[in-house]
Amino acid sequence: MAKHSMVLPQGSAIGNESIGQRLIKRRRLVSGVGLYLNSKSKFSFPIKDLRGKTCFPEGLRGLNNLGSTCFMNSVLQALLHAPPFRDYFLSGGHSLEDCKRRTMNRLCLICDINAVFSAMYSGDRNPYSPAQFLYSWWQHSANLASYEQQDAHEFFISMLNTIHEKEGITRNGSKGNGGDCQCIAHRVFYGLLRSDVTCMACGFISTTYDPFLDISLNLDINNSLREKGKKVTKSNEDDSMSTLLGCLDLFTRPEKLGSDQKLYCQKCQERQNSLKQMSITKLPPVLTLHVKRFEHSFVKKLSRKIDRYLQFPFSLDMTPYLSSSILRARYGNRIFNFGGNESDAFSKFEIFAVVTHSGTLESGHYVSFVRLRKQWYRCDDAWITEVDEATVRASQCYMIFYAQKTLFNNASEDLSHLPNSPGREVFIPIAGCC
Amino acid sequence: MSVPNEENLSSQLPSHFFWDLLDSIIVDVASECHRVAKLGLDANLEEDDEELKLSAQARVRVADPSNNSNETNGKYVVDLFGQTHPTVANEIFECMNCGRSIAAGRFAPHLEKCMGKGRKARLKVTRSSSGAQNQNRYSRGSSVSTHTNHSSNNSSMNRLANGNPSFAGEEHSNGTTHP
Repeated sequence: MAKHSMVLPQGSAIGNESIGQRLIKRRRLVSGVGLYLNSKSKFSFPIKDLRGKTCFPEGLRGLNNLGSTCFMNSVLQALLHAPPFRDYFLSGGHSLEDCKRRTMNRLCLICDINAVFSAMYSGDRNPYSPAQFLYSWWQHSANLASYEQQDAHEFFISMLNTIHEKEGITRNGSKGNGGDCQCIAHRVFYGLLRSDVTCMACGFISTTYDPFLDISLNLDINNSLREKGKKVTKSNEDDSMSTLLGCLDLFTRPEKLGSDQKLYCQKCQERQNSLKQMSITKLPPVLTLHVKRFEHSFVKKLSRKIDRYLQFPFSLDMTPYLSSSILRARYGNRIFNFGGNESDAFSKFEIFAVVTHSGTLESGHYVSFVRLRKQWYRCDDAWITEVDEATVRASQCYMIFYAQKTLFNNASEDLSHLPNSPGREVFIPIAGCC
Repeated sequence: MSVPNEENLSSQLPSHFFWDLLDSIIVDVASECHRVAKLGLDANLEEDDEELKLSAQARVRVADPSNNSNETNGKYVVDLFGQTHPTVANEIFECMNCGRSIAAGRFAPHLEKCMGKGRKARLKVTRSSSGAQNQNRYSRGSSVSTHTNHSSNNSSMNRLANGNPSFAGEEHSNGTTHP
């Protein structure tokens, strides 16, 4: 790719031009400078492309598909732009010199993640090949190491679990559990779920807490149809739109457990029919929502993908799904909290990335959308293009990434404030409520 | 005449009370929701409506073929930086396992054989060992996971993505040390 030191005018002002018009402008400017290499060239240019500095947001760079690795690329793009996760690595949170594993000549996945961050934020706009990272990840997750299409969500979980397993040990001395661990995976992604199981015989409620890395949501199809009192037939599917809030409602709705799922009640001293309700006690700085787009028929022993459109908001208020709200509603107090206490600030989220899927269960393609400086970009492996909001809203979401609004107000879009000194602790507020 | 009336009345009373109670509850909730909506006390209501409206508009716009510019039918011409890329990535680098020069787009299949991982490699080696290992992997060869362990919303930290026994110990599966 021929580089040049010509500085393009500020193209990032999004006026009333369409994407096509802006691209035409850009092409006219660069067309005179032999931009397209023939496929035989293997040069890697050490010279930094100044276009990167002036026009485009930092960290925006394509990822080469190494052979059915779009599932990995799409998740990496989202993580590369998750504010607290990005800040941790860019400010030297995991320094190569201090890494214990490296000094013992052992593999360190986190060092390799650090390398990906360095490369992606280097200013080089050629697509990057995360080969070293793939190799490292396969070493750590041997069960997922294979050349085949995989699930992006599975990769996400695997990667963060590996970070915890490696980092969790060195930081605490012993493997901490959900509440205590200070590894970067926990600090950024982990929240706390509360599960209340009510015995339907005696009314005794047993409460348990579980940490979560993300929330997997069932689509709210059947419920919206059942409310209308109609039978679930194909023709009715279009009548009501599935929404993310609807899915969250479904997630926190009291669920009657079937008679084959009787749970043991401490008071009754026997298994009873129960009612289970989930709610969120602690929200993480980055909330990851996973849409379960597959349905499994036990009768036919088939799984198929659900392509149904799911509406998702760009601004998300998680207050109604907090344990405090759910409990308040359960005891009949429906009065809204107009006062706006502290925990409100940590319940409001803003979207920054979406991983979308197209195709079938067996064969498909993942594409990510990331929002930088209020502009959306499509990350399709090596191809980075600008898209408008409508494209993102209309896409088939599979994983949606939200970050606490407070993280965006800290001018985190401009990364020049980040020092290069290692060991600097990044302040990450963790919402605590109820 | 009074006897039939009394009978009617006493049989009607319970249902009369019931409907009265039900009405009270409905009016209670309805008037509260109405008050909140009318006075604009819940900022989220308007925001939620706005989001729904924007999504509906977006779907209409995207469905209209005249609006697609650069990426029609997934065929890109140039990307944001004015670059173009082949279908199979052609950047060449050295495999960190065996040292051979590999094209980026073919790195994963190469690495799979090189590291001795993956279905085909494993079938050769572990035919005699448990078949359960291989079975799990066949069911997972897809873009979207079909595993029911994802339906559990409580993710315990010890859970490996698809429940297979941990291989975490074998970081140096074929004896190479990381430079």
